[in-house]
Amino acid sequence: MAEDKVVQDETDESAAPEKHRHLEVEITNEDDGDVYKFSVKHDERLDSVIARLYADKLHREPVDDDRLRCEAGGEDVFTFASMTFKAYLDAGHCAALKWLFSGPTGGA
Amino acid sequence: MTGPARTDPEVAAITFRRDLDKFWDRGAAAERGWQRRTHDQLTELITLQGNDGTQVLPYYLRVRADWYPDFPPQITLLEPDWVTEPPERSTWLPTIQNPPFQFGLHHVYDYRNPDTQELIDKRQLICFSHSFDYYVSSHTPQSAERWEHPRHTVAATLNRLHQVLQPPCYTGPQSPREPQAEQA
Repeated sequence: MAEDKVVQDETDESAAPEKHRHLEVEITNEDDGDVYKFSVKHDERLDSVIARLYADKLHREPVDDDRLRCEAGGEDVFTFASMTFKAYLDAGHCAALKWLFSGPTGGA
Repeated sequence: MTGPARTDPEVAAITFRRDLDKFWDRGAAAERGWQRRTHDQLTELITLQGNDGTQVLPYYLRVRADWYPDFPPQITLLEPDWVTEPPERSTWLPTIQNPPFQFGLHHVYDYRNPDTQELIDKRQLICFSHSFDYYVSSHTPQSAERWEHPRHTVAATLNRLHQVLQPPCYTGPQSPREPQAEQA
């Protein structure tokens, strides 16, 4: 029983300090419909996830007209790139952490 | 009409169906209240929803894949008979203001031969770089905007349309819609 308890404690994230707990960010790529999920920590900055999005999923460099916005309400995410997730959520931004990515679009 | 050669129909149909099914299976279309009906292997009829924050109204979109995936789908907003292109200020056309990306809706547009400027067609133009007609109407995208499959799929086309049919871009139909009109 004691062993069971130890294992349970190690996997119980509620027992960990908040800054070490993981959050999940879900990003839908509107250009092809793919959905990416990233595990992040409270004290991690948004721009670290944005960098992983480009490097690991999009396989390209950012360009000016890329858009990344909150699925609920459409608020721009890039604006807050230098914030930690804790600060971002504490300030009331995008509580569900579901974002939408789209690349540049031409038209007239 | 001059322009790009059509894709082999079998290739176009397989690729289009695969991409559209993938988009649909993600669930976003159902959440948006969209419906789809296959007209033929290269044509899908999709009922979109425009939401101005006070009411939700259907719009009828024909999606053709004749040039897919080399070019985006050809898209046209229609009246409920799924045939007629709506005239200017029709209730079957949405009013779209200040879209967050480059976008235009022309109820009729002069399509010209790019070499001779001869008029070759007059019909609707939904003008953005994830719409086939953009590429045959004297528009030239920046390199990052240019359609490139599989980086872009029909999901890009439909997601852009969804965004401009939501607040604050969408402000309602171009003329009031009579309640019985949707049963026409």
